[in-house]
Amino acid sequence: MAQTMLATSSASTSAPARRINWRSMTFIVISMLLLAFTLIPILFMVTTSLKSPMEIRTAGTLLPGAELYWENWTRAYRNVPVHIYLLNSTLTAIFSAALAIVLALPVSYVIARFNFGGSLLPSWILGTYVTPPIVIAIPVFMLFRQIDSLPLIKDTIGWIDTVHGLALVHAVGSLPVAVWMLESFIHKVPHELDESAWLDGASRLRTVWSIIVPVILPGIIATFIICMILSWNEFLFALILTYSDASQTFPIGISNFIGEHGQQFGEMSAAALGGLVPIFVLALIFQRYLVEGLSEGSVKS
Amino acid sequence: MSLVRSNGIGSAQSRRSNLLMALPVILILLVFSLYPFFYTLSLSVTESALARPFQEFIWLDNFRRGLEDSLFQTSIVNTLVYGFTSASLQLVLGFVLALFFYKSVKAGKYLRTLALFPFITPPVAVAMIWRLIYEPNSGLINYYLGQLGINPSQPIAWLGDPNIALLSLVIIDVWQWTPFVFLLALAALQALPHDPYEAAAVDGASAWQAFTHLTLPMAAPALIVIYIIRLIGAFKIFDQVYLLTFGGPGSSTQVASFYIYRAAFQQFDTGYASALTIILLVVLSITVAVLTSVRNRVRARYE
Amino acid sequence: MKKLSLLLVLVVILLSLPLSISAQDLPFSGRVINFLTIQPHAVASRAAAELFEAETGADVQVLVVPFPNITEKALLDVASGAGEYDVVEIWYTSLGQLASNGVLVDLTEWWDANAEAINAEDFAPTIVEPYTLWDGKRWALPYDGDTHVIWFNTALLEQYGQEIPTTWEEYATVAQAITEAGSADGIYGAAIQALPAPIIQISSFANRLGGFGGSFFDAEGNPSINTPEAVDALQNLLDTAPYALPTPASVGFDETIAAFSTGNVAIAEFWTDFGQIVGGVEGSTVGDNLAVRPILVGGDNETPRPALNAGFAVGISTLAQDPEVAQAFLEFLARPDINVTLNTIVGGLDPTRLSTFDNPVYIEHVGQDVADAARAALLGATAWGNTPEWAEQQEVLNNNLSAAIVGDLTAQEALDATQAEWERIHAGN
Repeated sequence: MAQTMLATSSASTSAPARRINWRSMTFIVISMLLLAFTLIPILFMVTTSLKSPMEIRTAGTLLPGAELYWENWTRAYRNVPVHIYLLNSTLTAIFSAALAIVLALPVSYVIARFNFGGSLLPSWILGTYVTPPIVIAIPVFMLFRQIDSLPLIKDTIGWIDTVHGLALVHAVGSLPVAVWMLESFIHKVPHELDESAWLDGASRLRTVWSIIVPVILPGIIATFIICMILSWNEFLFALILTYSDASQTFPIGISNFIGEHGQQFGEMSAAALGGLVPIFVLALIFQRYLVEGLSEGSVKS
Repeated sequence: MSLVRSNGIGSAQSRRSNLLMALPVILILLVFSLYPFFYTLSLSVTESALARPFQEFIWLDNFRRGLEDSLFQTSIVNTLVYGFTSASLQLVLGFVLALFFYKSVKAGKYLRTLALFPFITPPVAVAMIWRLIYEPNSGLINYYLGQLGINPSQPIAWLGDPNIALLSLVIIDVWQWTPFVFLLALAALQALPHDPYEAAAVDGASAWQAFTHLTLPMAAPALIVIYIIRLIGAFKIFDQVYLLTFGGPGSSTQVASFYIYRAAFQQFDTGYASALTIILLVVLSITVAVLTSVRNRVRARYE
Repeated sequence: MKKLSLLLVLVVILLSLPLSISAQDLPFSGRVINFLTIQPHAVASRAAAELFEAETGADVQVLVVPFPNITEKALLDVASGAGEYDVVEIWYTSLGQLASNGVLVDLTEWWDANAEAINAEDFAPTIVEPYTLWDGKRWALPYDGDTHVIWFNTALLEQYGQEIPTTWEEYATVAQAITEAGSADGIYGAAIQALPAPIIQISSFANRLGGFGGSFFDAEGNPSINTPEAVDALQNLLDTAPYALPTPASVGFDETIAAFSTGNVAIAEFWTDFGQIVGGVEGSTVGDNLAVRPILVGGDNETPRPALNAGFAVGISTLAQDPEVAQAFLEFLARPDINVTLNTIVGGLDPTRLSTFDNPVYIEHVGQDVADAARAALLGATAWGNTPEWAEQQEVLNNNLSAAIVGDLTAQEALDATQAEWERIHAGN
């Protein structure tokens, strides 16, 4: 990258070459430092997963010893059903992100286009983001419980300790972020596009579906992934609303490596990395959309 | 435009169809926002325990107790200090980084990918790895400080020294969320129009002038939004305190969410916890409202 | 053809025989109960469940939660009417909290009716009351008899010319001597755990409180947390803290285990399984140089009175779906042989029964010295509170201890403030 910069600029004149050189040096140094700051903890997690318990406790070297300690990996996946937690997390993340989008899209549209609800509705939605999760945890638990004890629901679809129950709550948690993002994407779509649809007599929903969605698709994908990440890392609701393998998610699952008398750092690192990989791969696949979506709602297309 | 208006903006039919579009979210908010809010409000004016809510109506006793609780005051101050320090550092670092990289597409592409790592790492894993980094005797930082010949008489206790423990938590948040700010700031910069820069170049403006007169003002509304997002996120700090310091040493990392959690789930005093929650909500709402109005003013000036 | 069908019938009968036998002999076949347990006891609780299932046919589902969340789970379960749990594990300090909120079934009648099977005299006397009794009624059965003992790295003591201390004052002197000589090499005299989680920080204080002859409450149950003994105990903690592994306020279980197993710390207060934990760390040689003693004495006090730090009981939920099986499961857990079995699983429970300390299998498992120290510890132990008010009192004490550790309050100020708050809480209820 520094080379390209150098090449393009040194082509122009020779006098500022020294200055350019100095600038690209700073550029390289600063980016290296920041990269190190970002990556060292992750790298440290990788190497910790390959250190023996004694190595972990003796010295904080970044690199593991000569003998890689793979036992952490085998033990982590043998002692704790990590794959079940990963599956639950994946399902919860996908359901909740999808639900958040489905809910947010129509309301974002009427807010962006018609200023629906004035400032009340947007600030209400944003207000839910300000509220610490601890506030709604107890009432929501009580509510789910009461619904679950209704005769018909009791033996069919419960809400406590289920993936869909947790997903619903996560969707609500992601809602303000989804509305915030989608509203700004829709805002950037030229009015002419959907006005022509109304003229043809299309309904609001139809307009959103056939005109807006295709145009802001990268934005929707970006929002979807952000919502997934929010759900993936959520801890407090998962702790309160789940209690068995039927629905416990990954962040709760790896806290099972914390015992009464200490943590298994190496095994926990191995398990945590296992959970990082799927979401990272997903983000990697969609990273073009993620960034493009974040940048301009892809109005240019 | 007139055609559109005749099609229904402002008409009763239009309002009805708009309402229909918003209805699902409004219903969801009624259940998951208004109901919990009133539930909390009712708890806050009663003598309540986790297992036995609403025992006795006691007016504002819980609020009076909360306002007199010096540890709760400390926790509010710590929350604000933590939030503003953390969000400000993230904004400055993230924005400077984005300025560095938004023109070099290739480097930016790799960085964007790598930047995903920190904020997709589960909080439990983040806490664990930073604990190993901060560990005074065998941790990463002190180990390499020692290798560099820096051997203070007492090893630096990153989480155990009341003067720096809160800062150590800020650094974790900066690590986790600066990349996120970087991504958003990068996006904001790439969305800026090119024309004003070309005009400025024609006028012979320096790079610094272009930055202060064009880039900064044009990016400001987006930056303030990013700042608010992170500020609110930081105000909610709970996981790292719960997993690393438990509010200590002393009360140096005692923050509001954690203090409220202890009241509700360690003392089981949900009435008191609810009153504290309402006080916290008021403090946070005022803070966010002030920032939002700043944002609107900036937006009005530059858009 | 006829022969063949006869043969078939015979085979079918033979095959179904074991099934019908097991169905007849196992009284609870096909019945299910849920057992709420803490994560650290997952192994032991699952083992108990399997043993019970083999004997009775009942399917015991073990539901595991992190240790700090167990009480809230049990409270919310009953408050919301869920009834998800039949048998719940209880940290004994929350016994009154759970009982007063209607989470636990009153077991007094069952306790009296089954006196012979329960054999309460065999339970360590100091744990029976705090673990099971509140408001004059029985609510639970002892399950895990936790108490702290003191662990020494004898190689380090020898290296720095120190003897195993017998009082808290000597402990402070030894810790200081080793740290002053060794801290440049990363060697510290002691690890003092004062991370401000109650289970960690209050345990460290409680060890000294009992050692100096103090207690949380007097004989009438009134707060007695600022007696001269208590102040001396806290002062001893504060005096030792500067010479402990840096820094006590950020030292919890992990830090202690880590520093001890690498041979960087000479003394640590911990549960009886510490030897197995640090000895089990691969590559650690500390296991060969371990000594263990009951918690020390201090001041004028000469009777060791260790503290009941942690410790768990099991009770039956008022919303249990199958109280009969739940009760049978408790009776099963009360059996001395089951006690021994669960006490000899690695990652299992500590003894609640005195007979276990004499059991050769148990002694073989932990070693004679640990068995002796653990028995001595349980015999004269100081209990934490177990009333409904304790949750709030514990929080007050914890906050004041935190303030004292960082020097914001003196020992006297911290405990005076605690006493005043405790009296207010005590009077309010």
